[in-house]
Amino acid sequence: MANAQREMPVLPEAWTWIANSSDLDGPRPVIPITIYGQRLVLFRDDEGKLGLIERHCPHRGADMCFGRREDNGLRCPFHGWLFDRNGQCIEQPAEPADSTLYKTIKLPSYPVVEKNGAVMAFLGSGEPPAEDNIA
Amino acid sequence: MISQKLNDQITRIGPATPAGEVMRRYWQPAALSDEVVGADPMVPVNLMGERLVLLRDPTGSFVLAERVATADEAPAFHPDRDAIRLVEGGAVYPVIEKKGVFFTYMGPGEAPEFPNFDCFRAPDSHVFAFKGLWECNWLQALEVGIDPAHASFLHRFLQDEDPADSYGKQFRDKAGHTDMPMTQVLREYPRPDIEVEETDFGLKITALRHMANDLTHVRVTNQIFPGAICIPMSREMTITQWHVPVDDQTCYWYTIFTSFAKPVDKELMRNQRLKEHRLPDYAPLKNRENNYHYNPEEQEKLTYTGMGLDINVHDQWAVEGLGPIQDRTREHLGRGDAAIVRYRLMLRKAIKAVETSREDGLLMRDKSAAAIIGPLSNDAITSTGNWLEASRQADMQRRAECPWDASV
Amino acid sequence: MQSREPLPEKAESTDLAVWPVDGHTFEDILDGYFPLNESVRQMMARHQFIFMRISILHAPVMNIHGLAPTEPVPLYLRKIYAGMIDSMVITAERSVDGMQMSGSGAWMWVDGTEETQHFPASTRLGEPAFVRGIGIRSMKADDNLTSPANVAILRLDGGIAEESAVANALSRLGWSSGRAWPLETDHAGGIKRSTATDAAHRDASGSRLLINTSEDQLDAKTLELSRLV
Repeated sequence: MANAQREMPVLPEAWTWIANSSDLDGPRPVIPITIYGQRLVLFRDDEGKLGLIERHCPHRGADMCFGRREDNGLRCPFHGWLFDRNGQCIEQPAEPADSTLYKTIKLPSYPVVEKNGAVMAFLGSGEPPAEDNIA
Repeated sequence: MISQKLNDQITRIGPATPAGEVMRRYWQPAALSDEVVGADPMVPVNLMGERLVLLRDPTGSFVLAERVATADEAPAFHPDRDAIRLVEGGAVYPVIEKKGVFFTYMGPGEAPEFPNFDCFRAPDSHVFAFKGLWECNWLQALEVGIDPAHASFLHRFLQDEDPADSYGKQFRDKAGHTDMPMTQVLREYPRPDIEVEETDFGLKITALRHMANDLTHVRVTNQIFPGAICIPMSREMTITQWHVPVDDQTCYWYTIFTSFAKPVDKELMRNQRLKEHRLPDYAPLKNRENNYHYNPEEQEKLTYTGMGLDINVHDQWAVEGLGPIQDRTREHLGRGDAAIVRYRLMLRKAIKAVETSREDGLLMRDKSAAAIIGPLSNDAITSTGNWLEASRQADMQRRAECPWDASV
Repeated sequence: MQSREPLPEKAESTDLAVWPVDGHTFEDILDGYFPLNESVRQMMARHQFIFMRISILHAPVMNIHGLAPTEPVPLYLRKIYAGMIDSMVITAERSVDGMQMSGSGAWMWVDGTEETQHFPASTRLGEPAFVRGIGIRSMKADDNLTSPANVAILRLDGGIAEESAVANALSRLGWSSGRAWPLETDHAGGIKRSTATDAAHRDASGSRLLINTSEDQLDAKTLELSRLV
């Protein structure tokens, strides 16, 4: 819902389970993650690395759970904006060729690790704790 | 990124809201003629946040009258005829039936003239009207229609269909006078130059796709103030489409398909669309509840969205996915959104004009509106150096060959 | 700070200090989300202008405290950041170290607490903004014009009323009508809130930017521009 005064929920300062690696086993490894009021999308890029980024495209707000997983990122089907696993916009293929607008656009993203078949995310602030601490 | 207050200003349409007051100063579609049957019809109409019914007054003229409603009615609720009660002393709005659509005027003072657009001057045999329900605010529905860039992505077909099977479908015809399917042009040239001009009815939007061999694809579409668009559908037909608020979070699209040379095959057009909608509320069968029949395998091989070949479904997914009212506190428009930027400027000017009682500047509100014809709305492939004149010529030729008076 | 190439004292072929320049009226869209001066700089570079005067109407803006100019904008706009330009005129000039701009206008902030006389320099457009303007590629007298000039510079000497000087200049240029705006800029002043007395404070000995509004030359862009304040 539209709400400019969105309050950020208190997010855990520890690695948090968000999914199982097997959830991403299908031919299209893109799944929605809703956690602590955050609407996110988890995907595996062409390098096999995971990205956990905000779910709605920052252009007009389209739902990127229906995004195209290609070119080592997630591409919005509305106008083709491409995001890497860190949430940085790296292509805006419908903007004028001289545009550098994409540089100002970065979606919130969260560090993700896989351990023992679990996908763990760090949603807190600052540097994540050492991965060794993951049970 | 605009503040919530500025987003409310351009989206909310209830009585006494800034955008609602602008919308109420124009004729708005209220029902299809298809919905009005029998000698004594009573058709529930949910429009601009008001709960109404379309019926004949004692003189036999159609009017829209306020009906009793509870606060928890669904936005597009259709009560049974027996359950409809009129509000005594409630609002009554005038109605005019034109080309398969009942239009109403809900604003103050005298209603404006109807512009003499092609969809209104074509004979009944050459027009066909339909509608569909979208579960989102009217403005985001309109904004996808004035966004020439999205067609190269959202509606991208990874393979082309045979244009011979294209009747009644958007983007499936050949482009201009070539053998290239429109789907191929859109796919191969995704970064159009977009030119936007203010006109006496709204905006003329020209998308230029510069192709190989010094050719340019020219697509001319239009914004008709405040809530409509006029765009080409095929070489034969144009689409004039209104995005009409049911309430702040729901809208109907109403389309008058207008054919130049041949009469419209209404049975085929109606059946194509009834197959995709349910009655009586014209809600689409592919929707958020069933993920718009999203198919990842199809997305990989056939379409950009994986949601089938009907481009209406793509648009519906795109606009409903933005939420009931798009959260523009987090949007980031680019120069590719040129027509949206120009439209919002026009809407904000109109809001200011109404708020300061300086309504002379509002488009199409005086007698001269009746003299507005067209608008030019077509696809053409031309030599790059001469695109403006060549695009006009292509449209003139279509108009000259047409059995009704389509001259401009 | 001023680094504009000096204006010629007089155009060579005339005894009146008026000369056509390589410039034109234009319409374009400023990109949003960058600090405003960066959006303006990019627009000037696109058109290869060295001087530009643009007019903006009804444009949402945001001012995000503490955000470095090159940082991406945050994803959500909080209310305190948001505002709206009602109208604004900006003049921008290329300089050795990039670009300088100044102007005047009317704007508001949603929370109403930042009613300063100066438009904060860190302000960014909240969405791309449509502008109408005049751009100049060189201030030198342009003798190589292949079509009739549509932009010219007039230097007032203070000895003759502005109206007469403009009328003389138009006649010299062969224009049947035109519009004049002040050319002088005060970049040190930044963008100021416009006041009712702005027009009265025109420097009588300054220079003017003239555009050709002769009926036989008038295109839609120039016509719209000529209607602006």
